[in-house]
Amino acid sequence: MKRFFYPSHILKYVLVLLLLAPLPLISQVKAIKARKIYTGTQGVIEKGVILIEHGKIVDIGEEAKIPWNAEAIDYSQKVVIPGLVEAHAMRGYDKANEDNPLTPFVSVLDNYDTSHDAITEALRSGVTTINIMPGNATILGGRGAIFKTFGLVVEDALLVPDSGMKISVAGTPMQSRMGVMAQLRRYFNETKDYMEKKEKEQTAPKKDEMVSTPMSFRSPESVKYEAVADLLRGRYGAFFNCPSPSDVVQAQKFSEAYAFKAVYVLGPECYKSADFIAEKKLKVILDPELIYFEKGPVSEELKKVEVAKVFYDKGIEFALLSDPDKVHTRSLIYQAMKAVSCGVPADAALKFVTIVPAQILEVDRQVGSLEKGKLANFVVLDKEPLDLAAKVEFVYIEGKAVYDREKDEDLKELTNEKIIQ
Amino acid sequence: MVKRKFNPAFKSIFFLILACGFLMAPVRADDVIALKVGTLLKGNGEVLKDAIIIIKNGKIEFAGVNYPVPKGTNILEFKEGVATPGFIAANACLHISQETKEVSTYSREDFYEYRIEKIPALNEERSETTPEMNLLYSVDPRSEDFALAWRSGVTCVYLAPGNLNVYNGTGTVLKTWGQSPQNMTVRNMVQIKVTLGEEPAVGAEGSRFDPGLRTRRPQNRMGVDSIFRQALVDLQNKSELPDSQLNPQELLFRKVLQGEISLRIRAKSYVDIKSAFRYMEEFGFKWILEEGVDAYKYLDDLKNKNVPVIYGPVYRPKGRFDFNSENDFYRAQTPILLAKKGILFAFQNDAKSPISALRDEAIYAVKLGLDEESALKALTFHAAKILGVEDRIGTVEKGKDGDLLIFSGDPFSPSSRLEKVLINGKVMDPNK
Amino acid sequence: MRKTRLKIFLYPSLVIFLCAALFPGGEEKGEALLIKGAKIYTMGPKGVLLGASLLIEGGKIKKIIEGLDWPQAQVVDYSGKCIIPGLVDAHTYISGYYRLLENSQVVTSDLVALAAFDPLSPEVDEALAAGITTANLCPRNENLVGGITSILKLSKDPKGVFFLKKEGFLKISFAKDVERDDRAPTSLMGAKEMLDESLKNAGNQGDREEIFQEQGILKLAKGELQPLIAASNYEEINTALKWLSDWKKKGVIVGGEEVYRFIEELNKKEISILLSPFLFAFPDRIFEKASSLLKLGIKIAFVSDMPEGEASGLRTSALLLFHQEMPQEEALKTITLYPAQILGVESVVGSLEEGKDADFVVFSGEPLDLSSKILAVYSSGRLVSK
Repeated sequence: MKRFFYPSHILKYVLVLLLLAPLPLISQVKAIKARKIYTGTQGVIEKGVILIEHGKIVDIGEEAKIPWNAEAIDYSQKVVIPGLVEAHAMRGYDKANEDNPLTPFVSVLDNYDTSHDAITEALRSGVTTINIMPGNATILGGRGAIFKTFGLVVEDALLVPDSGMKISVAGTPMQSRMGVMAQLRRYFNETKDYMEKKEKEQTAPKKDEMVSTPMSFRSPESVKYEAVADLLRGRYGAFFNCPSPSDVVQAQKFSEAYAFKAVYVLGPECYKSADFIAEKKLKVILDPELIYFEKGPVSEELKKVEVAKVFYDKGIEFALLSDPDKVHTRSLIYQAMKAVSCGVPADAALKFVTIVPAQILEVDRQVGSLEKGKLANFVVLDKEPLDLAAKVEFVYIEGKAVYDREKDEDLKELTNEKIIQ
Repeated sequence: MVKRKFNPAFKSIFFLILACGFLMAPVRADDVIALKVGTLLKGNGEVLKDAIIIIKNGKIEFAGVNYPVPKGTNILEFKEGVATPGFIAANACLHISQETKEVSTYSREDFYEYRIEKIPALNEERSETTPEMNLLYSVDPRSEDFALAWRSGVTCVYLAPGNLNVYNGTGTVLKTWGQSPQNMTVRNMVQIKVTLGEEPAVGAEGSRFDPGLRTRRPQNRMGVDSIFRQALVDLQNKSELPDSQLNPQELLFRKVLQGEISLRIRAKSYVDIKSAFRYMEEFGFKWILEEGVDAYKYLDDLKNKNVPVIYGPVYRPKGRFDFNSENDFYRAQTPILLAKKGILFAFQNDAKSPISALRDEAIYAVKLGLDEESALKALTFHAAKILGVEDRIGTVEKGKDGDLLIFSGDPFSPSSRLEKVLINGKVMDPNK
Repeated sequence: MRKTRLKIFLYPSLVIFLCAALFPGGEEKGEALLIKGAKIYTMGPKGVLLGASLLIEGGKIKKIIEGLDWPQAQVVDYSGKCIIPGLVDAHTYISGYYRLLENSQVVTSDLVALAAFDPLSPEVDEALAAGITTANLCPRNENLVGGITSILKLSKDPKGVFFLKKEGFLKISFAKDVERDDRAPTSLMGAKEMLDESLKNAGNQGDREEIFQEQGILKLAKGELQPLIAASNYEEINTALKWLSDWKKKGVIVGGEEVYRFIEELNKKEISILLSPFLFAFPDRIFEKASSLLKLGIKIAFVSDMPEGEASGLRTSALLLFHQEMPQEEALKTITLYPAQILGVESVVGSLEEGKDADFVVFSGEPLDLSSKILAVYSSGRLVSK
């Protein structure tokens, strides 16, 4: 007779069961419980739950079914908001621009510094997605890229390579706008010629082939033109630096003439072209200075313009930016609160730092709000988001807690009470 | 001569018209306005709900609750509004005239950004000891920065000549709005501004084209030390001479030694603060610490010797290009430590942080943990005390100047909007 | 025998003498000119005369005749034309722009501007063509105390005396040009302090050379010279006014771009203003306010600042002032009588009155009508420009 129930067999079964037991518990699902969840697009959920699997949100709601083996994280006293999106940042690298005015072939992928103070500062203030772009001092500055604000290796931190080409239509000390536009047109025309030539030679790249990565340049000509060719092919759009109101018009005409997508990074004076922007439904990013003081040239009276309000009243959706160099523009939440003080409603202000920048950057299927299918990027606060006293306690990127205020040594240094005298 | 008798009807009509004239004639009207606000923060810590403030001829007549407002007074109501005294910048780096100079500047985003940058022309570099310099007559009230200041809530500032000499000059306390600098002055010849550290060495450079060419002292801290002490020692040696035999510079130093004029010592690093304490022991003058980045290392000394501190900017992002890297050990908690210790302190702005951001600086300090009452005092009451003008400004109390701010909500929340600014009782809209 | 010699000597000389008496000599002295004009703006008590003439003798106006006839005078017929007094330019660097700055020191109070003047320079021709016959030559604005100004007569007479006053004013500058990076003063307050110190120490210290160099300052201290202060923007004018009131001096301010902001302070003070509007950023402002300044009795004159400004600027300034509803005579006075009064030479120039210099300008039409041209300019009775 087979002895299945001998002690030694039972021991084996028990051992196997024990070994296999934790299997169901190694679930991939996390459940975040929060007192209040600002989804960004679907309103506010009281006492809600977010279910996360493989870094994505699989369910969100008041009664999301929590699987029994989910890892429950209790933030039931806290408020959760979507991770903030910084639509245009010229920091996080060593130098913003090359000295040569026409360098469309460079890319921030090469000089982005994941450990830069600017990135840790962004993460600390709740930004989970940041679009790093070259600076304003060149005509064709190069390509930017969208990163997550956490990750040491550039490839790990990368969300979208080549977010757009930086173009500046403003004059430089060396050249007036006439010269800048002439150079741009010439460059773009030469690129078109190059593209035609390639078509004829049947060496044009296939639609989805990423040709203009730095590693893929084949010839000096391709170095020169491929980056702009990709722009004309529609692989990415352009970010125009428009300090003055007429620059917006100029840039829009240019982008229409050469048929490529564009986003307009405005200076504070561009409130004057708000009507044009509303009419053409342009994608715009506002300057960090939300309150613009202008001096009348003859009357010498100072006029105050609340730029955010001007755009909001015309129904324009825009992205807000922060400038950590100055105290009055130091973080996106602060900027949202400043927008509220200008008369923009609070829920709109929050949108302008989350879902609208994501839409402008065309990453809104992944980030920008807390919905099913999007990445689990969110910020855990101890109070309402637009409250000055609210502290960023945790930041999650793709379901992982990448920032913990308790463990932030730099912040402790800065605010340390026990200073050695 | 025929006596003509007036028709009695005409007589009575005449007197009736006369009487009407008297009744309707404007009595020599006092300029009175009444403000009704939801919350009044008086500046000295008192908080009143549903308060009324009466301002008569530019001065505060009443500030409290339950006041019978006379009929016909102009009443402004702000049901949800919060009123505070006007903010005082205990040291302001402002552009006082409308002169501009084109300068190319380096900034992080733009490698070479060509901007028209305004340079305050406040340094008289011909000598390292120029305490008699006073810039009251170099002020142009139409300069943009004054308008920027009051539109951001700063109603009063302290201005002094620049930082490139050891003894730079005496300061002036001014309102940020007015017809002429004389008319805007609250008090002149207030505190002699002294700079310790390496900054005066910059002023010694002979030529902007050949910085190595030094034409006068000091070149380093030893020189600064010597110059500082020399002025006071020289005067101690002349202590027998009567006032008439001293020149204006020496008269000023005599007043310093007698305690009539305080020194305002700008000292960033701990070495310089220590020197300041050393000089205080040696000469026995009264002084105020300005800029003290390392003030957190001397909390006990500052408290025991009654030295107020003027601190700012509170927000210093890393990598900020300062004069030199000597103050890398700054602590954002300094205002909180000062408040906890009970040291008088006030806020200032410097060349990199605009005057319009003074309120944002205070908000940042509050965010880091400074309690709102101390922050408000630092912006108002304590700042006035430090400048010695607390009899006129700094709190909302009877007899003081009508300098007020009306916010739409908590003044320390960035979502609140500054609705109205009053200077000397004149109501102005900062949002036009 | 003696008697005959006498007769031979006497009779011819008598004849010659009689001839000389009866037939007035050449074009030089002694001839009376009758200038006939349709309209003469005398700027004096006689006002505007229609159909009048000037009788000129010896370079001076002998008589103003209300009529068009005078016996024994050479007639110059300008009937149908307008005549105004020669223009007085109270602040100019004419003909000596590069010589009016002594760069080696900041306070050079002993230097006199007369030494830099070149009477035959083409700039003088330009000024005369624009109608300017009297000019106050001033040292430049780059020195704190540039020197002593000289009031000159512009004429083409090589033998003529060409200055009215060798020493006019002490030129002081609070303008931006004084503040430099490489030497003191570097700021406005420093400039004022330096000036105060110089005045206080005047004559008290230094060796012989220094005392000589302080001459101008000494004269200022004693009241022999009045200050002429260059101050344009608000803070400079404010400092200048304060300095003048500290030292209790009367003075003249030149530049004055933002002087309209001081209307209340200038009232009842004996301070005159010289304006060169076309060097300002916003010239229109000053014309609007100049009329209100004049109504308060503050003396204003327009200057050219030649060669920094144009000589024709004087007439254009008066014209623009006239367009601000200022009566024509008032507007013309700001370039003739008032500058002469400010300079203290109104007894000699500035208006057409008996005994004054025969300086006048002949226009083809009304002087403040742009379509009128200058037909002739006379300085001390001589035709100097056509």
